Amino acid sequence: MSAAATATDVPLPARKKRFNRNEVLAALIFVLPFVVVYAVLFIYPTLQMIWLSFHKAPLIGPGTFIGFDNYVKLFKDKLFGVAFWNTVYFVLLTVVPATLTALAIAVGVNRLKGWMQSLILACFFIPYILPVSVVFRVWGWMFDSQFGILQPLIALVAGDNVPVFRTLPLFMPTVAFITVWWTIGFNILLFIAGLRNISPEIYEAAALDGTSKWRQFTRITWPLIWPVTVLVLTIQLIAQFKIFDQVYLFGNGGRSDATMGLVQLIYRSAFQKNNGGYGATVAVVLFLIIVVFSVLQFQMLRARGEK
Amino acid sequence: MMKSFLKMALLSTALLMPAVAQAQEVVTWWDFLGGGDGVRMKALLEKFNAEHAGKIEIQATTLEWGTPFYTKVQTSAAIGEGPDVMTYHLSRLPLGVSSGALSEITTDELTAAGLSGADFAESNWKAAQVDGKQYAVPFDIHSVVLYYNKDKLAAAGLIGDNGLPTGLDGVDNFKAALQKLKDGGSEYGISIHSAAGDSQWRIFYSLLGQQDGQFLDADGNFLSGDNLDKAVKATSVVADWVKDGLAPAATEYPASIALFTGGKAPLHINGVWEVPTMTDLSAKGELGFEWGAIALPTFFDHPATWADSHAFAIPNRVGNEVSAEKRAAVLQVIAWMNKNSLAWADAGHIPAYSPVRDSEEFKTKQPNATYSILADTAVFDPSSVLAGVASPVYDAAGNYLMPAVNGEIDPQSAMEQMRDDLQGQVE
Amino acid sequence: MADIRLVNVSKHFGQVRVIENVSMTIGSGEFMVFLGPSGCGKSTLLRMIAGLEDIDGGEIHIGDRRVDELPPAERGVAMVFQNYALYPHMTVRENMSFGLQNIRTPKQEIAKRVAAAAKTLELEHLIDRKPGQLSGGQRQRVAIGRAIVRDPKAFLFDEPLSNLDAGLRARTRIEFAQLHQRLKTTMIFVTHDQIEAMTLADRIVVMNNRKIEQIGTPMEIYSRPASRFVAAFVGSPSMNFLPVQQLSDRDGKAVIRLPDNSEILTGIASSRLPSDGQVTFGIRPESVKVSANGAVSGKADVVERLGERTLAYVRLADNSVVIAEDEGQSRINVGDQVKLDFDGASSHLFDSRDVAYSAG
Repeated sequence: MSAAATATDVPLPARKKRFNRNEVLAALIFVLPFVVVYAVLFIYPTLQMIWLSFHKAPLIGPGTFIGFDNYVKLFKDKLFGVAFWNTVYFVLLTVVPATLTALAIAVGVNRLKGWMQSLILACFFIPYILPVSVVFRVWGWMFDSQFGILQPLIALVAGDNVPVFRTLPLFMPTVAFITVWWTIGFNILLFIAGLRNISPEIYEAAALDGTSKWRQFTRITWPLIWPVTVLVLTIQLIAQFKIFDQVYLFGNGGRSDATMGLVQLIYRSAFQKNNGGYGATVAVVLFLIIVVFSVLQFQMLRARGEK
Repeated sequence: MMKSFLKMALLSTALLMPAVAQAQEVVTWWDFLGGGDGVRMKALLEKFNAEHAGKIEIQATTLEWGTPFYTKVQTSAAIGEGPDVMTYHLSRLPLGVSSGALSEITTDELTAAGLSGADFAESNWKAAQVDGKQYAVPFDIHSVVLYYNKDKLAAAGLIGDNGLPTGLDGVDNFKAALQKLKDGGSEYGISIHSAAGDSQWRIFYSLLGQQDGQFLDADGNFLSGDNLDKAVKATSVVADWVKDGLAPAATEYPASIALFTGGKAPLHINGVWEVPTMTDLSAKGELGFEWGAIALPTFFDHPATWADSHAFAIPNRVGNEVSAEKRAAVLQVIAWMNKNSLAWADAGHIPAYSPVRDSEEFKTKQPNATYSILADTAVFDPSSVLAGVASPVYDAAGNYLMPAVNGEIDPQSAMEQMRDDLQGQVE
Repeated sequence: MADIRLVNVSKHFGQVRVIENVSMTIGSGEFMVFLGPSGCGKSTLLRMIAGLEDIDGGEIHIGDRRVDELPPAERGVAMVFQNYALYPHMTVRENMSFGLQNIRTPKQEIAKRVAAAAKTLELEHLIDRKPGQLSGGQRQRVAIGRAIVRDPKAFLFDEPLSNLDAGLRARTRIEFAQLHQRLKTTMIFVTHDQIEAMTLADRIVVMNNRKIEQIGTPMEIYSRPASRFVAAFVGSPSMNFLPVQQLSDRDGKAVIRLPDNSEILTGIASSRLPSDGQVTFGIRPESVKVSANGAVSGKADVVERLGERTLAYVRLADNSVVIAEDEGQSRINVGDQVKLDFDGASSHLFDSRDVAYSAG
């Protein structure tokens, strides 16, 4: 168009920064409760945990300083290796499948209208509000090797009833599947929020641009909800690294050494065997693993999204 | 404003304090007794409070069974905020004492409350000691028993003239009986909770005891010498049942009971704590057959059955010790519970307190009386910080014994791995 | 370039009718403006032409093709949305290329067209920015660029100026006129702003309440409104409406008597008027002059000095108010008694069904 328009199209000058003392004070007052709670309930225990990891100590009470002995022991501990790989395996089985499935369902649900959408969304979300004990009972009974309603189906494939939670190769995939079923509602919700943030006009523009459904998804929807995807992946990664409840419940009484995750190793060391120092050591290592993985993942994914 | 409020608060506190002190001793009580056990304990607690109105009042809280309970006990003991008295598994006592959670109970205190070691079975009383010191008072002996479907057993000719099962002693005999029952149209000969280590441990430990096998010897070695062979033998007995389809593989706890109550398996090994389940089902007419329970048959040299005890223990209260009066009240509670433990037998348990066990009322109480021989033939879990409820030994049972029973690992190799694992955990 | 024909088009959302039997023809190369208040159905009509809304009845033709069953992309139209609807994650270049890539235009061709559009719209220095880094006016030019590169048979603009501030809006309006002169493509422009409509349109479609009130050139719409609604909606300040006491005839032309008993000779043939005599008199402020010789008198309630002219809100004897015009250097003050001279020849009459009658 003409040059006349460009003259006013200069972006607004950056607002001058100004702080007065009252604002700073107000900000401090608002931030303070969080900082205090965060320091007392997170920073302090974390430091204590790190300190404890250098001790041979019971769960409660004083111990003796032993330097890095716990860490040396940890890297020689066969169980730690098993727990680490089980955790990584579980993360692989859940994080990406849960995210992709949630995205697919969200895209589907988003196409529905009115009460139908609410109903279907509720169906997918209800498992999320169940406590883990209920999830355990429900699936435990469905898969029960004697009376489970899924066993006739399994018998069709396998020829006989299969005690899936007592069959090592099936254990993690089954628990991972149940976890995805259980927690996917929240991810769907996040994706739907992301999808609803995309203006319908964008899709109309795409329709006028002659975009095929597939290209619309890959070139418009997917890039536009990429930030949500990164968020979901990161939340999932952190949550699944901390896997405990389901694996503990389904594995309880069974070959728990073979199915154990890192948090379970912490629990067993600190709470069951009263070895607080060693439990703290595993916890510190898990903490570092999660920090490294999540920061790496977040940075990598964000970098990709920014391209 | 603030001042007058404080004054009022102080005043009212001052007025209330003597009233509380004069009224009664409040005894804080923790237990882990849910389900049918819990109902019966609640009745006992109410009875106690009614009888001691104005003198002692028990304020009871029920917590989650197993590791959560013991973790809470330990952490609260460390900061002096635990209960005044609590239920405790005798098998768990060594770990409790080693972590400093338990307070010693002196002979004088026991005598003052009218209790003495002579009132309990010796093995039971000893199981409540660590290094010769008393840390608990047994309340019951609970064990595993053989539940049976009398109709099916009678049809297979396995009921004797005395109306009790017969012909089940000996490994081969028992297996033959199972085969006979299965041939008679039952899905399984016997139902066992084969998906978990704890239930398998109870059977295994009974069979090991019947051979005088020692799981942990006096030198702190697991399955030393020929104990390993005995353990392999014990494991093989159950593994054979599963292998030959006489017992269900990898079956969960509720399913294992349902197989029995549903008539699909005429025999079932489970804890005495399931007696109320059978009694209730039978009373409601939902069982569909006549049931009974006997002590485990003698598979090897002599009768022996794994047993544990619910006991009473007093937690340490570091920096917050209780008064002598309160401690006396606690001992009174313990003594009263034992003397009234006949009601507790309704939960399937055998009272630990011999005068009750020897009473006429108990001797006619069925099926308890039938299997009360357990009290004399009981083998308690090894006394070790690695043993007991929710202990590394239980975990090891899940890791090695359970898969061996289900045919995933050869019994010989399973027992060797179990031995090495536990030995490796000795510090 | 193509003409667009609508034949008896109608549309309803559930029970609510949003378009009723609309027919019109937009000539090839014509700049057509849909004008009306919000909710009148003008945007819906535009979206129906674009294919973003289905029609429930009638036909739409673009060029020699019937398009109402075709998906939007196959209708050969390009649309600029009110909020521009740029793809926020794509650069200006990608925004403009996307539609062409969809139809597998060769890369070189895309580059050529995008470069040409960017040059025309002075977007070259912004070509690798994302919409979030652009001002409102720049975004709008990108949206237009995205439409231009597709070389459509017709452009559809849905209130494209409404998100700009007043000064920018006026300038951009001129640019739209220049754009049309240069491209000579059929354009449909939806607005609720009568000044945009008057200044841009070859013809205006005035819509109200789901229906077309009038189609005509801006001056036709202004000077010969078809209905009281059109008369009132177009023109600022709005047309004066006064009740008519008595209708009579002088030499075939209608004479009306206002409530204050003054009589005005109109240029409207009496024979065309309804026989019931129920009419309303309408006259634009510029046809009511403050004049010492005026036949009607009243008191000035409000005086608005606009510089080149002055508007006086004059209360007549019967309390009705008439907006009159005076010269820029008017000496009237509030409260003054003034005389008004009505130019009856350019007045309008409206019957009880709000149908308009104009002189000539």
